[in-house]
Amino acid sequence: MFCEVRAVSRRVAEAGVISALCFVLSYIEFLLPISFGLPGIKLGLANICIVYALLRRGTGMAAFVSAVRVLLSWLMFGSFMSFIYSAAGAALSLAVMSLMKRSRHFSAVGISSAGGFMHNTAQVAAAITLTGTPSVWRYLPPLWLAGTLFGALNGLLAGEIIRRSVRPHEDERRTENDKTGT
Amino acid sequence: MSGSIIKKGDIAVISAGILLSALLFAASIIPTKSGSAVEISLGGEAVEVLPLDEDRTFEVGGALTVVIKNGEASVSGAVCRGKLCEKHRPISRAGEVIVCAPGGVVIRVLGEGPDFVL
Repeated sequence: MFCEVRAVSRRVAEAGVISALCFVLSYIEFLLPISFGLPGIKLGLANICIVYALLRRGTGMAAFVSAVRVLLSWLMFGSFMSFIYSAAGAALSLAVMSLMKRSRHFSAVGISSAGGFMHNTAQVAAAITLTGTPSVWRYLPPLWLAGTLFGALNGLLAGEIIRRSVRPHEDERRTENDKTGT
Repeated sequence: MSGSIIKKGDIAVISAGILLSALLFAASIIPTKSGSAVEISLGGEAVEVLPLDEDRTFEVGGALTVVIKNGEASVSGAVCRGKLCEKHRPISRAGEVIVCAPGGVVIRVLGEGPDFVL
């Protein structure tokens, strides 16, 4: 009983911490935008937190953190249009990343890279739908390239953070350590 | 646990992303004929069609001003934060677009030519 309460508290606390960090990363990108000349191209640093949440704690945690980030960004500094783009991107990206995690053929780098690609795909799809202008597809090639490359970089960071933050008593390491007797 | 070790699948994902970008980019630069006019739409509805052979400016919904000059259309006076639409190079060929994402404004060159529909 006591252990269950501890586990729930731990999960709640962790969800709060990761969501807060995620929002801070979004805020930093808002304050210091690195412009590449097209709407939608950005580093996407917040995805580091989403990938971390997904790989360490599963789809539920990642979906929660992602939803908090999208809502907070909208309330704090977004227009309704940017909220739609960001929600569409976050949903498709998370769905694909979650499936890729299950397949076990990809590490954080590939998962995050596909996430960036899908995020931008959904944004352009949303833009085409909202504006009713199919020609907006012309924005896709640079957005795909940026999503793929920045996604991979963020995945590299997320993977490294996960590798360094897994403590011996957690996750799969536990069984390894039990075997070696440490 | 997926750590930082790069797997084969990762290489495949990144390669596919770059390849798709390159292919679609190639498709997007297939030269099209010069357009004759631009259509300006706000939130999905066309609000104005301006001929390209006549220099003038047009304000859209208080969000930005479309400038037609020397047969090309560009944007100035955007009220959004990033002002990315102002940095877009002037457009004049059929199917080219400038998008103001926050304002929901799209400026599209009308005219014949291969205009792919996704």
